[in-house]
Amino acid sequence: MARLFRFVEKKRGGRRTGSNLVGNFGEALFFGSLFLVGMLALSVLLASHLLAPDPASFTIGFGKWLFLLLMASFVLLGGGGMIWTVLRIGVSAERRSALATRAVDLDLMQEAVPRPRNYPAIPPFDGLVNSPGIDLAYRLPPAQTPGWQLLAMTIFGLLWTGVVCFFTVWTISNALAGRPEWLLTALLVPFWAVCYWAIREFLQLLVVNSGTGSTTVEISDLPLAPGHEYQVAIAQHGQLTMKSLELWLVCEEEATFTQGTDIRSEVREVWRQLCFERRDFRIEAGVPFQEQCAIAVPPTAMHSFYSPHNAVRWKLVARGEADGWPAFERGFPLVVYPGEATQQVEVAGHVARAALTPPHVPLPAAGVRA
Amino acid sequence: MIEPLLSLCLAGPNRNFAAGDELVCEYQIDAVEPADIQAVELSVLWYTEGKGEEDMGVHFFERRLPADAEDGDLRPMRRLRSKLPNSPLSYRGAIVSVFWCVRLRLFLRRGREFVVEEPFTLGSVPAVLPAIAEPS
Amino acid sequence: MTSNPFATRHIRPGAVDYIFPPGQSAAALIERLRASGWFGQIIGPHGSGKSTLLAALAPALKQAGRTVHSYHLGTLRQFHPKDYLDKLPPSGRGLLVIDGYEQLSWWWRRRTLATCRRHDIGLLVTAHQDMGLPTLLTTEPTLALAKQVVRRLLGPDEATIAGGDVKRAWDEAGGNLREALFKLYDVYQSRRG
Repeated sequence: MARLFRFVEKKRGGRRTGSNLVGNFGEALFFGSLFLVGMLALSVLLASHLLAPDPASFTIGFGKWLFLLLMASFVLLGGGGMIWTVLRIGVSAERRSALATRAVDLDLMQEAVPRPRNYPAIPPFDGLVNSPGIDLAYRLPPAQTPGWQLLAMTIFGLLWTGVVCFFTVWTISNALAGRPEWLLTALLVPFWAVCYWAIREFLQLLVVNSGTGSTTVEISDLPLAPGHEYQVAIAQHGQLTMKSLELWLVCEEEATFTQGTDIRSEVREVWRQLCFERRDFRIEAGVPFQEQCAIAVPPTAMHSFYSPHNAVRWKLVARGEADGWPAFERGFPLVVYPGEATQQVEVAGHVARAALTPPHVPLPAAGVRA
Repeated sequence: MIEPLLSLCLAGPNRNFAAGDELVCEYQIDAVEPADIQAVELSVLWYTEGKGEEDMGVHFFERRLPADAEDGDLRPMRRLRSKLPNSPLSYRGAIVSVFWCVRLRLFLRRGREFVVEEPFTLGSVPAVLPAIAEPS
Repeated sequence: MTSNPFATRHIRPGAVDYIFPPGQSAAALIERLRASGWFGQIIGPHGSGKSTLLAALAPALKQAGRTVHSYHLGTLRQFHPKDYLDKLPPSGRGLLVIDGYEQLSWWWRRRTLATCRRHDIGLLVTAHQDMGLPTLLTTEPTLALAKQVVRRLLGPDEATIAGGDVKRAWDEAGGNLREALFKLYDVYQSRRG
């Protein structure tokens, strides 16, 4: 059983035995500390240069330049490292290796996706087929990259902490020089409060995104055609005790209305079908849970549709509940083309009987959209 | 002032078409002097309706000026053909609907405009019925 | 396929007639605007019909001999006040109409007002709060007004939506007429089968 923390981590083939969460947390801590040390040191240097009573007594020589460069590199390495850590959440080494192997085997002539006939107002699917899967043809990109929120919080936290560090050093330097700046000192209190909030939010997001592990979905073909069956492979990573893992095929409509300052956007789920469900099982670190199932868009379903203010979208939604973690929900967009049945004047009787079934009760909102 | 009479009709009895079918329509203008007509536009288009802003896509468009017509008279009957596309299919959804129509627009002098439409259905996607929690 | 009478194409400003409060009319409002030197404001909360009222006043303004230059300020629209200030016609019978005036900064509002006065051009605006111009009308939708609007939208299809439906939608929308109409869209859609 993988331990939470080991001084020496073993590599067993392509797998690691350590905890992904601890690894990411440790990296963030290391790079964060590097950034903070660099920022504080730079602030002291700048403050002492700007506040020196006699600028002539402060000369920037070789030593000072070296120190400046060293601290600037700490800031860049620390900040860049934090952002790099955040961006790599969810991408496994196994996937990178498999893709590299598969790339060698690809037959470019056979892999060329035939250009579809003209289908106006249907969103392009090029962005969905440019990522080959490991088990099936394509790996679907997530509808909402969980890292964006974390990345935004990281960048905000870095910038804010940097600014607050500088002003803190400035205030202390002035106070030590006998010129206390009371207004700035008073402002530092809420500044540090925001800093504390930003760091806390960042750590929370880091834990949630690292701890629950990524969900990957692959599909046998794209675009989808109503009435045809496709294979889907779902893989859930992490070290989790799962209460449930479900995969739904969902159709939703979106309408956006703008009038003056009012921007009203509504999303309405119009159809869903449970494709896969598993309850009460455990996922071990480095051994993702994997399962395949079949999906089929109903033969009379509306195709994907896109216009500037209105859309009909299809997607696969993975919903999971794990012990000790908030429930998560991850969407993977699909493109559905018009079906043979609905392109005709009338739908055949046997096909109509398998039509979309109203009414529909939407999925309850999950705790965290990660 | 007498309003011009615009006649627009689709050939055949049906208003339902399959993707790739040929749409044939005819139009004619009456009760207006030829010299008063600045332009005539005929378009085959789809538009959205529902809770969002209206979007529109023009599949076929023809604009004729008096110089394009015999004797400069745009009034006589004109027949047009257009092969219908594969998408978007007509759709009546919960908050988004897609409708198709042929639209005839007449431009007269002094900025006057007149429009008539003839709706039709492309494909056969069944309507989606939204779930509304009726009060008990 | 028949159209849902509560779709945006039927309820957007200009598509539905503005129902004036008792004692008010387009002509009366234009007279009040004229009396205030062609400077005025229409204020009211979100979805209360300000833009619809502007659309209703357009023919009366034209009849009063004013040349109207309209601008609708939206959050997503890339718009700068210089776009209209540079295009203002020389003094005459012009009227600048700005829908969403509160979206301009204090500086641009001052500058717009000063430019209009300098060019002898009127200014009619809509806003959510008082902008310091003479108030022509404060739009305050009521349940009774909402029922009138719904009756006009439904036309002969009146039986589909009952008074109780309108009240329920009105209460759920917190008095926002546009939101209430959006809720009635769903009710109509589910009932027409």
